[in-house]
Amino acid sequence: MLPSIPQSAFFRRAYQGYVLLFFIYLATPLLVVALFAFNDSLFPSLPWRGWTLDWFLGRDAPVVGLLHDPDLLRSIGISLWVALFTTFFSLVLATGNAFLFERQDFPGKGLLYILMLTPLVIPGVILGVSILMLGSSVANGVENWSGYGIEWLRPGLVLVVIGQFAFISTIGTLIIAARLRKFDTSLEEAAMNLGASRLQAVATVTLPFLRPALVGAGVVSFLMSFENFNTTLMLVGSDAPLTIAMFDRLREGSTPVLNAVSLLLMLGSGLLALFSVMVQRQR
Amino acid sequence: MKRSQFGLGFWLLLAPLLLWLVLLILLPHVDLLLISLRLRSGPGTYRFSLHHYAEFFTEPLYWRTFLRTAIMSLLATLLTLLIAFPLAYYIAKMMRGRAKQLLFLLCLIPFWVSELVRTYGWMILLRESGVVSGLLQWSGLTGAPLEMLYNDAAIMVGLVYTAMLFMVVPLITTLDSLDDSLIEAGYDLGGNGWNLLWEVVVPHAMPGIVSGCIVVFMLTLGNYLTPTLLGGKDSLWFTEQIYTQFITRFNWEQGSAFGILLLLLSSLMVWLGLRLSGQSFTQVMGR
Amino acid sequence: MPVLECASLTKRFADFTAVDNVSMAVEQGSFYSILGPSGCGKTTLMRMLAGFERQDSGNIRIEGKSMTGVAPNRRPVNMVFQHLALFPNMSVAGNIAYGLKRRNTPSAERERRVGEVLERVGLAGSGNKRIEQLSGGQQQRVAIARCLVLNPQVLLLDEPLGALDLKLREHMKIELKRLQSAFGTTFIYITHDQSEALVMSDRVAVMNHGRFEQVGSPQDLYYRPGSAFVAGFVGDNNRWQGVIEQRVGAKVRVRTEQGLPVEAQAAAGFQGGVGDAVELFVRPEAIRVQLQDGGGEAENRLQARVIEIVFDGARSRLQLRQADSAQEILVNLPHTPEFATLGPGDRLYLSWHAHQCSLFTVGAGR
Repeated sequence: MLPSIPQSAFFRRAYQGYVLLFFIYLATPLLVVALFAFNDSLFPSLPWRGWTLDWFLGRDAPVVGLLHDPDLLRSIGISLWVALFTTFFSLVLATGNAFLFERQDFPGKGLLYILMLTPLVIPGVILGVSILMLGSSVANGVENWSGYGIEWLRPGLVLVVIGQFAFISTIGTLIIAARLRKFDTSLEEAAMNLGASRLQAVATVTLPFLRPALVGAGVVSFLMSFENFNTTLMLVGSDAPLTIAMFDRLREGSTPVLNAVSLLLMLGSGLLALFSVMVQRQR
Repeated sequence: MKRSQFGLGFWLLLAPLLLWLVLLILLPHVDLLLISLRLRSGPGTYRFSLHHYAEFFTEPLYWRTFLRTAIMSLLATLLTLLIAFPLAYYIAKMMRGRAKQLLFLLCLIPFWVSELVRTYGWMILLRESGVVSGLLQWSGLTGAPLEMLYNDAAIMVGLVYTAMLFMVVPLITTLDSLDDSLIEAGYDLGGNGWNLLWEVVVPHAMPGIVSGCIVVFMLTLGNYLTPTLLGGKDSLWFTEQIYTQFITRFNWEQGSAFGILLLLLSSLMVWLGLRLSGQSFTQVMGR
Repeated sequence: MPVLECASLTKRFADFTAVDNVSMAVEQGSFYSILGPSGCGKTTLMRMLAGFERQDSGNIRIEGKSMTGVAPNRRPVNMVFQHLALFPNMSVAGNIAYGLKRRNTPSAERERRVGEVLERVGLAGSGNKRIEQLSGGQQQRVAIARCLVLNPQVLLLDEPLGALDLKLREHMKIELKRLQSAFGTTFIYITHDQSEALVMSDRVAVMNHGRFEQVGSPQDLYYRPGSAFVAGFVGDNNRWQGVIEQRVGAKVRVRTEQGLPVEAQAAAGFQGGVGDAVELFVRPEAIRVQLQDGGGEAENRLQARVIEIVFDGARSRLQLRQADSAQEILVNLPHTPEFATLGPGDRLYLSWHAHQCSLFTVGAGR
């Protein structure tokens, strides 16, 4: 089964048909979501009642468009902040980890590496729950002992950031370490040979080399945080990030304003993806 | 290049890693275990007990949900693999150059979009007043609106869809690294497509298959969104039990026990998968 | 009857013709090499023989049977791939048994034949080893054994020595030739390395731009190159542009661009006449180098001064310039004692025979 190996025309057609079907399967749900953002109906379902932009721009209940829905707008803002913080902290930790695992040898490295990978196989709900428990245990302990309440260890946005950070860091570490592994250390030696200090060499030679991985890891972290549901669900307090807000509305049954938000999300993700692809291309 | 082993730089790199792993990964799970093993014996006092695990085994709803989740997850993993493998092979081996790049990117696009949006798409498609039902009525295949949501098949469709990326990407990566000349050599020596698939292609792709299966199984097992939204009230997914214990009933001890059980199951499956295929954890996951 | 015959094979890709009207006939039991620079189409030609490319026109016959429309797994040829393509998930014996299994050979016979072929390639007892435990040369032999165990009519080898280091490559050349004569299988060997082709082959086809420039024995190619391309590609050569000044029968006098007159002997069929532009080739090792004048009856005798000594052990060269013209001449450095003190500026006497020159008109036959 290679282009260089003769195959019957029937087999070839059937195989192509399968691939085509697969892509239809991939695309249909997304296309449907996007399409119904423009349906002039109170429900995101058939029948089709004609085109409208009301689910973006509408002002008057019950047709409240995205731009005039303060709750949704607020949850988008919250998600953005959470994602920014998570991305920042994850990137810093992941870069350090990558250098540690790729450049250093120390006893227990193998064990730490395995431990570093475990968040990939811990279901998100459990990770969220366990961090929730520990936060509460610590907060309770401190309160009983000193009477001082640590509010940020209770369900809320700080805990959401911590929970997402806990597993997103692993993914960042893998992306950056993979790139660092390809780095030719003699370039750093050359920089030092030409008079740079060790830190200068890293800053002027190694980090620029890592830039595509840093951008890639940043984009992936941002999206994973923005779209995270499982871990967030367990740690969220009264301020709901977008996915939680959308989930609540979905269960109640909502107007196509959710389609409008979804379309916006798709466009945003698409732009981010395009951006990261372009940065990788530059190399 | 590796300078004095334990200089300042080393400790500066090690400290955050240790803090992260100990405070956010190890301790929370130890805490989860400890909480699951205690029973409230009075206001503010606890004693050691296996009560919450016993509860799990004696209450049929609990262990049946658990079993059902495990089996459905296995099935979803298998289905995902079966659907993804021919596609991954097509992209990795039958395509060349720019078309290949493009198709690969096309595969990824849906997964840049939130799982919530994807599931929402399936709801619009499958619900009684949805697109598929509408198409079927329009084509005359069915007379009345058809409810396709809120059953196991709907859950399965959603789970497979959600997990597809995590199967396709490792498969394409490993298949891409398979040298074409190995397949050609097999043909040249008299092999045909079928036995080459089993003797050359699948053994080579094994690391990708295993890592894909592990991640897909894990994600499916821990999924909450898809079963809840596509399966409705009767979806009976184990994560819903965990959520109910923690958030609705506020029974943290019972919820912790459930969490530990789910964690045990997923670790067991990961371990089994690695054992059966002879792969190592760091090899499979660290890519 | 030749075991393999091609007639007017042509293969075009989108923008160029990789194989252009090639015909060849390979004798049973011979070692046939296709020699050419990278991109000359030799790999495409070989892949057509194996069945991995389909010819646009022409015909391939093996043992008289047309191969058109016959899938690679049904052709009586086997191929040793450039990077060997040994299956990493199988043992040495597993690799060798692979083709036999496909033919449903009973397991007892399979084991016997695997053991036999392993012994013949000098790897007895290595059957249970993993591929990566073997050295490069041993892997090479496994790749060949894997094919030979199937008793193919023709074994195709796609530059299998390319990835080896120099020493091992020299060794494997001899070894391959020995294996070929021991098994008596017809080998078709493609390479860009002229030394590999000259050392091992019974016949060599020199390929360029999708065509065969010349087919002949290694000696033919070396002593009687059929085209300027072959003269330049096989072995080293002084390559001079010039114009014919005089022609009497086969005796031709050429004046090079730098102004050196050279007596040459035209090969049969050489069409050039007075005034025609030609390319003239003289091998450095064909020129006699002396400290005193003593050229004897050689038609070309001249003096030159040393510009540079290019030391390369046994292959050391002298870069000379002829006194009257500015013609530069490359000759071999003799390793006899009287040349030990030779230095730049020293005068040397050169001589060579007219029949040692190869002469081609420019533009003809490419």
